[in-house]
Amino acid sequence: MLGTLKRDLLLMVSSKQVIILWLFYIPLLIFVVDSFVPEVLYYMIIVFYTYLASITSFSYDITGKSKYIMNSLPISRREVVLYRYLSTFIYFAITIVYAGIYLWIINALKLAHVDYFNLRAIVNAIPAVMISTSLVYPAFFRFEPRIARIVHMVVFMTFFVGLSNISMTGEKGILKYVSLLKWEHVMIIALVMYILSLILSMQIYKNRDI
Amino acid sequence: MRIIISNSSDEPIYEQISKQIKGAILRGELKEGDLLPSIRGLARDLQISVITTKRAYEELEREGYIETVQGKGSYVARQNKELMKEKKLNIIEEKLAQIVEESRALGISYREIEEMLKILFEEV
Amino acid sequence: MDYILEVEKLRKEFKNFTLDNISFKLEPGYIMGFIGPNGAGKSTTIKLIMNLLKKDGGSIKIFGKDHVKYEKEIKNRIGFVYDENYYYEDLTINSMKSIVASFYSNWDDNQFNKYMKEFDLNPKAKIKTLSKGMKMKFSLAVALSHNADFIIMDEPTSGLDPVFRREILDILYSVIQDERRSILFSTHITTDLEKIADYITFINKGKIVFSQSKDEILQNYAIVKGGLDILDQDKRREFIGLRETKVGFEALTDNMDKMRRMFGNKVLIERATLEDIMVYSVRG
Repeated sequence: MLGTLKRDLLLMVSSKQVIILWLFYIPLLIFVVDSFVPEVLYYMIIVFYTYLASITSFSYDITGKSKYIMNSLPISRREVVLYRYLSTFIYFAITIVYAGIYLWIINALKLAHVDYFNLRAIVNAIPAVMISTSLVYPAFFRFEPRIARIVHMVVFMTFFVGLSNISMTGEKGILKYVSLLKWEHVMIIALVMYILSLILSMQIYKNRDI
Repeated sequence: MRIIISNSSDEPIYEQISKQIKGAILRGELKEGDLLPSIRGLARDLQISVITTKRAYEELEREGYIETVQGKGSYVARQNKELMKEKKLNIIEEKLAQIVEESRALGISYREIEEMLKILFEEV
Repeated sequence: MDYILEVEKLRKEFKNFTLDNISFKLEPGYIMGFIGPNGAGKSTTIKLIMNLLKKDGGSIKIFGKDHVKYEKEIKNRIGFVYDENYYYEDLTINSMKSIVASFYSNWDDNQFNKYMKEFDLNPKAKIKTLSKGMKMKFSLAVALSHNADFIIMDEPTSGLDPVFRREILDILYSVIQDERRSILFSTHITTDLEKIADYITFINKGKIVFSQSKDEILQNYAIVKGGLDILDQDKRREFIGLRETKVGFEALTDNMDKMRRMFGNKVLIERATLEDIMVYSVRG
């Protein structure tokens, strides 16, 4: 499985598309999500970067003929799926480090007032990442990339728009929202969804023609 | 050692090989105890299938020309001098029988053949 | 282990095509050529063997074990080379190699570097800058650098020039010097196989036409050529494939002796090449 991780990381740094995404998405978010509580902006950056990194590398994997090579290597279908679900957390860690540095620089250069590390936001981001990816991963295992990407877009837009709206209602709104749902409950739901999604994906992929 | 095979000949390749090795043994070019190329090495050198070389060697072993030791390779077997002479004579006899048949079919007499042989033996 | 590969009654259904009752076996130490026209089912069969496609029926055993149940263990000992490059274009040879190497427990870097030198490939080159031939050589280097016992090649030489193809054959001969290893080589360029193959499996329209030793095939199959006057309905039925022109006929038979007995001196009987066999069998 480390081989698969190596591949994803190497691909990320070799693809111009991905590099551009990583470089410009933060400023884009800052620009679009203006007048935000820094914590919320940070939260959104963490969630969306992790989600996008996970989905992009997955998409790469399935599109094109390189899937024939990867699946001819000594790796079982189960491991392919398991790796995908574990990689989410790796991208999560990478995002925290990357965003931390990037935002710290922005802060230091006084370009904007942003948070570069917020533990509460990170903790709240975990279930959001898990829920969104658990919805999209099985689609990628089951359908052609074209169709799976539609599912991804739907989930992405829903989350993006949903979170933006919630944030737009201002500080009061956020705090209200956060206190309504206890983190523990959301986390349990997220965990259950994630595990169910994993099992579903394994079942789908076990019987699929590559 | 020299083995040359023809792809365009009607004779099966395995037969060409065993014939040439037989000839080399009978002429004394290959002596008792000499190691033959491995069947795989030979297949590679001649660019043919390993099954072909295997078959050639199997035939040679069946007829007593070579011996194969598991793990080591194939060696020229101890040739009984009497037997060798007999084998050589057999080959010539076969060829002569062909000539006799052809002569009959073409209407050539024994006398004419005798003449031809005389000239040929004097030439060589 | 009796066989390195055992395919038994393999079956796969698609919308417009069915692969049916595919059975053949390959022992260690031999090369099997897998021939057939385009679309016959060669690639499909190989993908089924590698579990890239899921079979609808039959069984496949590699190294004596079920190919799905022991998938990872088996694939660790298989070197594969596919048609076209499916490697990641943006990565360098070295990057790609380090990814692949981490999957195999018997990766041999020295061996790989030797091949890099022998094939004159630059390890720092990006895969997209390689020509088709170079990509193929890279694939082969990877396949041969982890002590694989079974090499599977799907149309590895199509699009490559004859000089190149000969080089590949030389390499395959080297591989097969080790009698524990086997090679399965699918192609529609039969001249490559005429030399090196030990066994030939011919597939057409999703079915196995024959699976035999190459020597046997070339011994029994023949091209019969003669004048139209000696043909009649009964005789026509004896052939596998027949081509009639204004100046005579040319036909394929799998029983050279029978033809000699049937026609005697009235026809010319020549050895059939694998290409003849394939073309006449497919065309009819």
